[in-house]
Amino acid sequence: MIKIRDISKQFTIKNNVVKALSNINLEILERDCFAIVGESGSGKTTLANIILGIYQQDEGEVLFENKILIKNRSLQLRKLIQFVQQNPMSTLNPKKTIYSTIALPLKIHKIVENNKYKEKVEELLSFVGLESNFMDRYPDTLSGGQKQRVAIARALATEPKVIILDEPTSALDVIVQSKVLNLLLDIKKKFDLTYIFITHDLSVVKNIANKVVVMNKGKIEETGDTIEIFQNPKSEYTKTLIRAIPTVTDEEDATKP
Amino acid sequence: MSNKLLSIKNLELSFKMYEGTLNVLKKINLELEKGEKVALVGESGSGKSVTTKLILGLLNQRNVFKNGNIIFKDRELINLSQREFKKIRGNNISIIFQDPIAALNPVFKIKEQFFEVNCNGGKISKKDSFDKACEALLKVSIRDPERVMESYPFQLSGGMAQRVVITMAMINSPDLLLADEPSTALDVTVQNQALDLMDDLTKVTNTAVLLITHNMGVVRRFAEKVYVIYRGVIVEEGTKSQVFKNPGHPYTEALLQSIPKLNGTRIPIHNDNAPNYAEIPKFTHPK
Repeated sequence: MIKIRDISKQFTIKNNVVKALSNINLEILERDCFAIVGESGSGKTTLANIILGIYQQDEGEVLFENKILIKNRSLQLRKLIQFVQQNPMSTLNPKKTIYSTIALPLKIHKIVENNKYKEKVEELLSFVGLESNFMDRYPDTLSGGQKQRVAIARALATEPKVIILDEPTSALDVIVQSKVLNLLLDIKKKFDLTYIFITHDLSVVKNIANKVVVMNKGKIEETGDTIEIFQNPKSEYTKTLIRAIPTVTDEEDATKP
Repeated sequence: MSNKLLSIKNLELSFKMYEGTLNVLKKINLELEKGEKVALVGESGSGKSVTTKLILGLLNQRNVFKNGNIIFKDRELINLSQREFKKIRGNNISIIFQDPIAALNPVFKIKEQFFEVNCNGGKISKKDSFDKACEALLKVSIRDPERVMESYPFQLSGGMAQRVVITMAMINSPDLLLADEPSTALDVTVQNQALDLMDDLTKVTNTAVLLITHNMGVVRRFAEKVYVIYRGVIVEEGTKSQVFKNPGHPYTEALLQSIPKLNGTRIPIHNDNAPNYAEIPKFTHPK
């Protein structure tokens, strides 16, 4: 579905060159839940921004269904890859009601006819488990989990094929986190989606993703099936990362490398 | 003399707001002994952070109503004057906040901030303060303390800044360290280093720690005794192994169950028809 070939990207800050990504090669298949794991500064968000076309890579190319993606892409392409951000507090415009937040992508991409926005927004909210009376509310009056649900509904509005989830639950409490993650899995099944799941939380990855890439300082440390990587991590870095996860049961500790 | 360091009795806190009164803490009881490591766990909005603020006397706005007792070393803290509190903060009780970069003042160099803390412990010259801080930083495996001392907070990485903050909190060997989500903003590997560091430093000075966190994994790694707080009510109290092996309160159970497990294969499903946990009485494990 998405192929990433030899992507490199560097940023120049004053006279310092920071290599954010170097020679990244990945292949994401249809219906994958592909996790990108790494600590802060490892380049995972930069990679997502390149796939989305927010940044232009220095070298290499991104292919989507065998077509090369460029930075200035058509509406049609933008519609197919959507994004859910980390912080539910800042991802929604505080001056707009939930209705206008979700209706905006519908208008831009002309998903439904002019007089059917309201019904469509209602439908989208129902997908994420929110009632239709949320439409007239402002983001301030919502809890963190509810805001993240709205962000997911907005991403679903354009009927995408791929959703990039950048730490979608790291700002949420565990009970809310499990609800949102289960919701994401239900939606994935229902709409046949491909997820690119960016996170630093390896326990979440173990339970949600079928493929993982571990990144460290802009390079790929290891990539493969989730089960394989958790059972026999090859690189030392992955081992350190798995060992460092705070656990709550003895059984979990036993599975650490 | 008893070993009791801090005891909180029937502590109540409410904020008077435009919409009405908001009850944040509802008669909580909490005890810490000397050198003990206690965790207060809860989700956002459960009242865990305001508890630390009350202990340090940082909630004095006009709309704050507090009731109950906070007894630290046989001394009542709840209505102490700010002048008295100044003597206690940093010397007897110190605090580590969640975001180390935000906890440090961005316009002063680290050495100037250390000087302020050192002055708190008694008269000291700038040079002595510098040397004292360098020595302390060396102990927390910062290899080039001179450079760190001459830096501004934004020039440090998150892990480095947190080490500086922990050192600063511990430099006057306080009796009690309040750690409000000390490792939440850090990566897992750095988080472990920060926890180890706190563990080592507090052992040397026999400092008690009240760890405030939402992360059960961190609790399991660090604490000896656990209090679980839910919407301003303590719902469970016990030693670490009691709480983790046999959670007695349905909320604790739900909390532990919701955490994705490293040996799991799916995201845990949370029961939507859960009871109102705050109405279920507190579960205290036998001592």
